[in-house]
Amino acid sequence: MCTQCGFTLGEYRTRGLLGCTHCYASFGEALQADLLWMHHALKFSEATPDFPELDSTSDPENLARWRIMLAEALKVENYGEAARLRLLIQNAEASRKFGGGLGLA
Amino acid sequence: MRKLQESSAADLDWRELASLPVAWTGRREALASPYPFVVLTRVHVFRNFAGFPFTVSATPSICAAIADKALNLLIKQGGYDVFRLSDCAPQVIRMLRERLLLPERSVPFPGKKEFKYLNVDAAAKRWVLVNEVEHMVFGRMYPGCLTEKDFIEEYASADSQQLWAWSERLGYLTSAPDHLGPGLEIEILVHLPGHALARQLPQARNGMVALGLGFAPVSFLEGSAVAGLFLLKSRGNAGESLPAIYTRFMRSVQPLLIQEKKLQDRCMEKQHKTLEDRVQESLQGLSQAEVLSYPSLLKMGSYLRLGAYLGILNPKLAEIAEELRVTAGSGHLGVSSNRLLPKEDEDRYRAKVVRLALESSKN
Repeated sequence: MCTQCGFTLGEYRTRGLLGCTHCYASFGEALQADLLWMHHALKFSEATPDFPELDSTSDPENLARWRIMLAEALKVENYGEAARLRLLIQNAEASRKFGGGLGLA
Repeated sequence: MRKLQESSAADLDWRELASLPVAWTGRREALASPYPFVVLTRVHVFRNFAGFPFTVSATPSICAAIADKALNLLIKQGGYDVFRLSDCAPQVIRMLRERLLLPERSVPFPGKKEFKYLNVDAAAKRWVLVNEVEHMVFGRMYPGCLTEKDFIEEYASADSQQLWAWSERLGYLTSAPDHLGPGLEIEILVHLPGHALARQLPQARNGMVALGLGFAPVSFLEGSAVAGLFLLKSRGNAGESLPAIYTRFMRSVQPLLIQEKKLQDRCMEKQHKTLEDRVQESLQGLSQAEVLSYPSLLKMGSYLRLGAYLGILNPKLAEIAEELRVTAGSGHLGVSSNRLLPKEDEDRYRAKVVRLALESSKN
């Protein structure tokens, strides 16, 4: 799961779309293989994205943002997105408590 | 289209847009080209704002912020009418699709439909789509084959990399990973009657796919495959320079165009009489039809075009057939009648439009 937007690899596979720029880093080797297959001229070293460090999942700012996003998703009855955000929050909270994730990523 | 800021779809005079000449027809050079069956070239540029998630994962409020940013940018650039796609009547959406101003299939984003916008210039040659897969898609149409020089001149100037999601190694970052890199796609619409008559379309498709190109009939046009109308798309351009993208695409397409020309010439040589009869029958059929379905228009129009390419008919008729393919589509007919017509009425109206166009072409 992308720690920035909450998009999962399964969703990427289903829709063929990425959720945010950080998905390029979050989906790692699985996406890298796709990129090398899609873009013939891309070299292996280039398909590794050069992003700034991903925000830590336990960052309190992220948590606050996701909570607001969750409330908004529930308000518009977008339950799919709400479920995703809830998982993201749970994972981040567990990471803060125990120093590790729930293995959801 | 009027020069405005943001407009309500209901306020716009869609008949004005529907009555505009088709953006990619009427250019003499296209007719004189060695491959007159390359109908048009369409180039898409895909961009996403830095610091925002892509539309697919953005919440409605973020989609609204993206739309605001995009509309401000368009207004600053002095664009034309910008309108919300969800406000448009079904016949208008169809008409826009027939003019190739919308993707063949739009991607549904539940709860975020109202944030999709379209901006079209006065001649309906350039357009910008907002929140349709990528934050902004800039499109432009050219008649026939775009030359390398024109392509480089138009697209070589780099835009602000600070504004857009960009990575040093990968280039422009996009929601659809196949748009990644230069964030640009070249597409041509080709008419392949030679392949269709020689039943060589599956071979053509396999060849193009093996070379890494997209090859598909125009999905929203009923009867497009039978009429030999196909879209060829460049794919996977990351890691390549602009001249390399153009050269690779044209080099990949070239064998298909050469083969099509050969097949047309062979058809003319070996079945001259049958071909001439079919071309004349089609012209007569279109000029006298009282009722005309869209697939029949495409099929007879295909013979009309082939006759024009091979000198059996006036070359101008190829352009007229293309103009009619667009303007006699159900969207255009619906816009001129202010509603989507029942099939029987639509077929009768289409026959009338075609009869009148062919009649006036004689003068």
